[in-house]
Amino acid sequence: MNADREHPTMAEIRTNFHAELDALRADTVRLAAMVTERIPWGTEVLLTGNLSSAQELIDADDDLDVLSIEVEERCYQALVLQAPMARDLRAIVTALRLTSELERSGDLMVNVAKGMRRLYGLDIDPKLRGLISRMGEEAQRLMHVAIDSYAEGDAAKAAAIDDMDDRLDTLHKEYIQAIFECHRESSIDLEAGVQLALIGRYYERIGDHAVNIGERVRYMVTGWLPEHTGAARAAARKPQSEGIADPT
Amino acid sequence: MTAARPLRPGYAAELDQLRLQVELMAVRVDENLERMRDVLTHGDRDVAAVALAADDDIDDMSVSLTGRCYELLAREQPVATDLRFIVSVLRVLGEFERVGDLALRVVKLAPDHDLIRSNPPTFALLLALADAAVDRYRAAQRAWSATSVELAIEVIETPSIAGHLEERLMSELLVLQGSDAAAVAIRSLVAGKSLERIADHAGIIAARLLFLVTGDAGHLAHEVR
Repeated sequence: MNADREHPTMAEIRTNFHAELDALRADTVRLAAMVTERIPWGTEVLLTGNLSSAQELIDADDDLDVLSIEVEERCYQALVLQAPMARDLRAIVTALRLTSELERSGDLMVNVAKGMRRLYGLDIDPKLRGLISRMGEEAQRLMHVAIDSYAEGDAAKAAAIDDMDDRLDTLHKEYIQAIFECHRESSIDLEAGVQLALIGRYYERIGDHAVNIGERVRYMVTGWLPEHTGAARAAARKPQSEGIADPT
Repeated sequence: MTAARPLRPGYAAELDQLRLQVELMAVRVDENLERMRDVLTHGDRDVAAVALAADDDIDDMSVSLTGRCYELLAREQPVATDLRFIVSVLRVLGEFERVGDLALRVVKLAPDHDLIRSNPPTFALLLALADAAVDRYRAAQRAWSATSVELAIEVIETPSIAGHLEERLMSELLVLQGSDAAAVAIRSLVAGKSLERIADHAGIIAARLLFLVTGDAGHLAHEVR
């Protein structure tokens, strides 16, 4: 800025604003990268029974919490100070929504680490180990695709995540059936079966968060609002006489 | 002398309308929680079908209200309290919708009702957990509707019985015997966890209200664990 002038020009204000938007996006991607790397970390903790690594993963969640609150507050500041329009507004609202999806995904991997501590000493059945490993890979893949779609502003990639999540859902169902079988065959006791079932749910929910991120990215890129399946069904049920459905 | 009038009366009316619509959505969720409790108690599949259809309407409202929030943000460029109100609405819409989804998880267990009620002690705990979750949700809903800091603080500071009941449920489930034990335990746990999380989301709604009224971002920390 020119030292002779007291106030920045409009062009300078816009440049600074776009630099802040870039920084917000970069920090959201950083948050997502931190979450994504915790998925294989948590799976490894679970399958190896490494207690010190589990504690590190649990402690590391504080960093995620701090960064997610920081990004959220900066989003509010950007909304207040810059009164953004159209695409810029959508970018800020998307970052705002992504922080909670990512923060909760991080919590789920903390739950996996805590679940391992409850299972400590258990020799997990090879079939269950294989399924846990595959669920971890699928959850990580979904989160990767979700965050790539955000970083690249790729609506088509974001739209594909919902279908990709079917694989994780199928694996999860297979996993629950395998737990029932193991319990019937007495290779695991009930307590272990319940803990393992809970862990499976955590992976499944990470997939759901990735799908939600995909929906937010579609909104950011195209202005498309998530037509939740239910909302679409409700609109379809309305009789023609009620007029044209709300496009939102 | 004429009374002071808002500078943008149409905008003020839209905010009021938004507030009312969010309350209406909260009521719809509450109605589905009541159906959830009914299905959990009696396993009535007809009630379950009504709850499933009602959840579609809740999703519809959520999408439409989210669109309205974005529109208001873009068109009116709100600041201070109005901005906090709109972003808080965006977040609580997600919480209300999530509570509805969790209620549906319990409703979808209707075909497994005989299995879930086959062990009376854990079934009784599940019913108590449902009562605790619904009570906490209603306390948060009242706080939100009345924009009452006192009620919101009460929700946050009153320890949730739901967490305690869920722990007891877990201990009881782990001592089940028989070939169906795993199926009973896992399905009961799905219901129990969903109910406990409904109570948890009620706490987040109360914390969001505190942020809305006070502007203190410290309340946002209730959402992170």
